[in-house]
Amino acid sequence: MYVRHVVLVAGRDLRARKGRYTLVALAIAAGTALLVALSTVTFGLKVYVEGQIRELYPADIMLYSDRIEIPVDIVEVIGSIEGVDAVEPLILVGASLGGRGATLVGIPIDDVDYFAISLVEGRLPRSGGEAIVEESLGDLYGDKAAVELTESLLGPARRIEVEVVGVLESLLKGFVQTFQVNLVVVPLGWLQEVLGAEGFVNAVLITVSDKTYVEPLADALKEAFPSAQVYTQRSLIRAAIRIVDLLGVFFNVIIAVTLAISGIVVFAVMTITARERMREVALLKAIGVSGRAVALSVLLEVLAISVAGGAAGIAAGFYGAHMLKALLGYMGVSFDLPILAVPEVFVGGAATALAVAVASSTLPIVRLSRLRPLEILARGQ
Amino acid sequence: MAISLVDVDKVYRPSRDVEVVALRGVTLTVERGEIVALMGPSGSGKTTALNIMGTLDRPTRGRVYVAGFDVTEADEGFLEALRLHYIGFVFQSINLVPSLTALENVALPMLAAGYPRYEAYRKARLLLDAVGLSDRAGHYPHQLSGGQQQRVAIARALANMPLILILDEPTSNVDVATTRALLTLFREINGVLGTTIVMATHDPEVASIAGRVIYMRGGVVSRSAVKLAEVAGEPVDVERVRERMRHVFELEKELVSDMAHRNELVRRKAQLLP
Ligand SMILES: Nc1ncnc2c1ncn2[C@@H]1O[C@H](COP(=O)(O)OP(=O)(O)O)[C@@H](O)[C@H]1O
Ligand SMILES: [Mg+2]
Repeated sequence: MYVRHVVLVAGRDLRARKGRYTLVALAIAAGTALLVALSTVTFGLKVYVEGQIRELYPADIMLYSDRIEIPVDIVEVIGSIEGVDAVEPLILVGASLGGRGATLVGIPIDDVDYFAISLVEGRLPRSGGEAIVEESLGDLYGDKAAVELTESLLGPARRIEVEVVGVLESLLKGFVQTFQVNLVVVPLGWLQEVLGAEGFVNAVLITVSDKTYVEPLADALKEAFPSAQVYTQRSLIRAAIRIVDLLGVFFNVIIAVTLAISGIVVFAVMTITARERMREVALLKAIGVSGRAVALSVLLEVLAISVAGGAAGIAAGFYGAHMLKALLGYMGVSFDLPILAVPEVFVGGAATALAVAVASSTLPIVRLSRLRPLEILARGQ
Repeated sequence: MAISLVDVDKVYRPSRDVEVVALRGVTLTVERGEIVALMGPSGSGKTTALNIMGTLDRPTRGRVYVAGFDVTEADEGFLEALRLHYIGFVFQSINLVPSLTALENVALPMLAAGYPRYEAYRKARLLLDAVGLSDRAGHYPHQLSGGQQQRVAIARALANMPLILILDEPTSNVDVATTRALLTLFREINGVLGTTIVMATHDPEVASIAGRVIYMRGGVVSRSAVKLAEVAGEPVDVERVRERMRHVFELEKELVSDMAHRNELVRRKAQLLP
């Protein structure tokens, strides 16, 4: 089949109806832009959350128990295993602080480097009774504070007085309220004393030199401490990503609705255009232009329109992701969401633009190409 | 023989229990190189007969032969190719693609037939020149008068040098002077290219260029008469026209022989060209 006449007719029709086809391109661009913007933001969130978890939880494996029952001696044993880089014992206790939920953490102050704590104000705790708190509790800086522990497997309810000597930079910033852990960090030895648990902790963080050790080591720990849980960094990241994916599902609903609207616009305009072009197509078929050539010609137009719309949509969407971030900033969500140019998102945007445009113009195209010239020409006058 | 209808009926069924008999037992033959006029009152079946001859419509009964092919049950793809290479149409009203210029409208069938772009536009210019519209090549249909549009349509109909030209009331929208010019053009085309012309008309003056007039009434052929006194319009100076069309013709022969090895229809047409 020859295509020069197909291209000629397509090109001239595009030019003759450029106003209307620009509208179609815009409809496609809008859907694509939203898709690209929200996908870029979702991707950025995943990168951000994963990065934050790596920072918050630098260990490859965490051994955690509801009871303070893990002997600190275990640290030596695990540390001597081949491939283990670092082992840090700590106590993690859910607490409340003036009505706010908090997490009381006892860490070995000597090994504070391991936890990559960065202070915004004050200094690290040096002795028992001193604490540093997360930015979200920053208003307590310089004061005494009463950390309240409810009755739990760890022991009876009690109050622990601390003096807040420093503020550490929040992890996960204000990203999602539920993610706020409101850390209160105190020296481990002192906390063990206060809780009457000298020599024991309820969590151990382990870093390995080679990631292939993670799974076997985690398995071994599960066997050794059947009453404790063993978390790997990867499983935590996976869990967090699942939360972001939930947000992604919500985004996808918005995207789907927008794309459906784009599709309806394409369908409506192409149907009207097909109706208007019936006389022209009847003539073409009467003089021997094949139905396939007619279909191809309209398809070419749709492709051209959707490539233009898709490209504009991708550009606008990527720009829009930056704007969305700025908007979130105005709304008080001030974490540094990375906006990355993800090729998969762009390709997905382009493919979606094409698919939506082609799918929604299929019916008008088929109708035009199946047109029987006589039906129109007979009614010609 | 260029076209032959043998005992053709055409019945339309616009709705389930309405039947319109447009043609009834029509038998007629058009010889190669003839000009035949179909005359008769409105609704007598002229357009239906032309559409069947032009393979745009199929008979309900009977057989149809065009350029030596039995097209009665031929498949749509074959008929498309046949229309493209063998038949030129000028319809009653819709004739040009509105978004294409006059030149592009004329070039279109050649591009569809696979002519090289440059040659298609070159020949389109020659054809516009032949219908006296070389200065309107870049105009769009809406910028042309009815008569000019009709002439572009004729140039377009001639683009692939058809063996048969089918004209349905080709002068119904044009003034007397333009009608005369068109009639002269038809006689030139017929005289110089040997193109068979079948046309429907109400106008006795138009019919006067035909060598034979077929009268229709109520879907049947009522009378067939071999013509008639004087012919309208200028006498055709065949030599002058042949000179004017020479370039078109040479180009066509060249292109057709180039394309012949690719297309059986074109190969056969090349043998039929004068
Ligand atoms: N598509 C159609 N559906 C139903 N009836 C038709 C159709 N085309 C033509 N007819 C009828 O067939 C008869 C012949 O029409 P036509 O061939 O157009 O006549 P003419 O060209 O001589 O005026 C008329 O009665 C007309 O109404
Ligand atoms: Mg008619």
